[in-house]
Formats: sequence, C-alpha cells, structure tokens
Amino acid sequence: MNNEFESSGGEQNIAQGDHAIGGQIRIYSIPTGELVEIIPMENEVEHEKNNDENQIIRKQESSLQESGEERQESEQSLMDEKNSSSLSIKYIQHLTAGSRNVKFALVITIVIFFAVDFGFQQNISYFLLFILLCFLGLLIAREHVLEYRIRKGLFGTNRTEARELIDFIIKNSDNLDFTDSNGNLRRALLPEAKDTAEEYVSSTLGEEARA
Amino acid sequence: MSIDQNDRLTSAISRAFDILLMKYPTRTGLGLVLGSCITVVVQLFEPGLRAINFMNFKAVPWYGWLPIGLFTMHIPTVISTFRQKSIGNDLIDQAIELIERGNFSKAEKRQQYRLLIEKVANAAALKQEFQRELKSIEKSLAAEGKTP
Repeated sequence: MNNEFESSGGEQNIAQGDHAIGGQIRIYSIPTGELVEIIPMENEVEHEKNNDENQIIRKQESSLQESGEERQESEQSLMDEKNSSSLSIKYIQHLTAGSRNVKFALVITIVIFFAVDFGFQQNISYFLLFILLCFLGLLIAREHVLEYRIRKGLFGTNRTEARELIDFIIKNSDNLDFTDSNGNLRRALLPEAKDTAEEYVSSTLGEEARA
Repeated sequence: MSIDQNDRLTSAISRAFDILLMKYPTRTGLGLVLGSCITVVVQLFEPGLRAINFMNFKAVPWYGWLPIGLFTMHIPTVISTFRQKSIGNDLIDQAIELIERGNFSKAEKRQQYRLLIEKVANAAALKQEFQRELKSIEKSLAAEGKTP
C-alpha cells in the first residue's frame, strides 16, 4: 500500500503554528462571523415559511372547527328545543313547581325548630329534625330520578307512570299548550335513549363499527 | 348498562321513593310540617294546655303528632281511593289492561305505552283545538246577532 500523498500544490496545507487549522479556515473560507449571521438568516426564512404555512393550516382548522361547533351547537339547540317542548318535560316542571312550596315549608320549619331550640331553650327532638331533613333529601332525589327517566325516554313506559302522565294530560288539557313555537304538535314523550353499550361502541370505534 | 336494566333499576328506585313519600310527596311533606308544628306548639304552650282537663296533651309523645298531621293532609287521598279507581276513561283503562295482559316483550310493552300516551295527547290536542274553534264560532255568531 502506497502511503504517499500526491499533491499538485493548490491544496497544500500551509498552516503552521498554534491554532493553524482555525487560522486556515479563517483565511480560505467564509469568516465565522458571517457564518453565524447567515445560518440564522436561512433558518429564519425557513422558520417564517413554516410559520406562515402553520398559520394558514391553523386558520383553516379553526374555521373548520368553528363551523363544526356552530353546526353542533345549532343541532344541539334544535334538539334541546324539541326536547323541552315535550309533554313529559311539562309534567316534571309541574311536579317541581308543586314540590317547591313543600321544600320551602320544610326549610322554614327546620329554621323555626332551630330558633325555638336555641331561643326558647326548648328541647326539640333532633330526630324530628332528622326526619324533616331526610324527607327533603328524598323529595329532591325523587325529582332527579324522575327527570333522569324522562330525559332518557323511559318515563311513562309502565302502568303507573303511564296512568300518571295520561291523568296529567287529561286533567290539564285545557291549560296545556299542545303546540310548540313552530305550531307543530308537541310530542308526549322524549325518544328512548340509545343502548349505552351501543353508544360506547359507536363513540370508540365510530360509525363503521355500527355498520 | 342495557336500556332494559336501566329501566328496571330506575323504575324500582322511583317506586321505592313513591312508597317512602306515600305516593303524594306534597301532601306527605305538608303533613310532616303540620305534625312537627303541632309538636312544637304543644311543647311551647304546655303550661297553658295543662289547664284543659278533658284532654291530656302531654300523653302524646313528640312523634305522635306526625301521623295526625300526615293523616290530615292525606284525607283527600283516602277519599279519592274510594271515589275514583281509574283514570275515568274506560277505553284508556282497557288499553292499559290489554298492554299488561298481552304477551309483549319489555321493549314492545314500552313501545305500546308510548303509543298510547301519544294517542291520548293527540286526542287532547284535537279536543282543545275543536273547543277553541267552537268558541270563536260562537263569538262570531254572537257578534252577528248583536249587529242589526
């Protein structure tokens, strides 16, 4: 193997002394200061280009998202309007309005009990207060359960509830407004909620899974 | 949870609430308030009530007044159970009985009840509309009768 270095002279290394290579670069190539200036400039141009592209993409995405959200909101509001106009919702509103006075009376009684207990030094049974508080809790819980059943479209699908709702419709047929704001007939019950398992599958795997 | 299970569970909870609240929460609540108020009043005015000879108010414990309050408020419930057993419409009662006796699955039964309620609501809406039209015709006829 021939280890001799052949050179025509042009590329001969003429550097000598300490930091010779660094000095050679400084002599024959671009000064390091300019290099430092040029590299960021190139980077900035690329970065600006990328930024512009990203901004355009972001704008398009946000406009798409906004239009999607608007559509969803309008659909949701339409659904809400339809749902709020059902007779079963009127029924729960009627029930809530009826029990509001009872709740108020219960709270007033509890307050009076405390006032009598502390003010008049009378030994009011705390068990009585407990009963009243329990009743208040039961009243609120019952309303929530009924509202849940109505919202899920389950209310009125057994003998007792069907009787209750029919009774309400017949008794209040003179006062109830059977038409909504568009003049269409209100529906009596909300549509049945989809099977939760089916909802889970469709939400995780999309519409294709259902198909 | 499937819709059948959801229906069964919430229906059972709702029924339990109905039992605890004695079917009519408003009446029960007001009965409890009345009973509690009587308890407090009796306790507060005990010295004065002692003067009444024919009645011993102290013999009734604090919880004794609650059933009295509840019963007082539920008198209309007692009367209504004797007076009206059904909704008052034979056709609706028959329809409910048919749905109950029919050999339907749970989903079918729910659907049948939904249909029944929708039909009742539609009939009530038509009746209301008919009555409104009737009133407007009567008014117009009355107005025509007044004008010479």
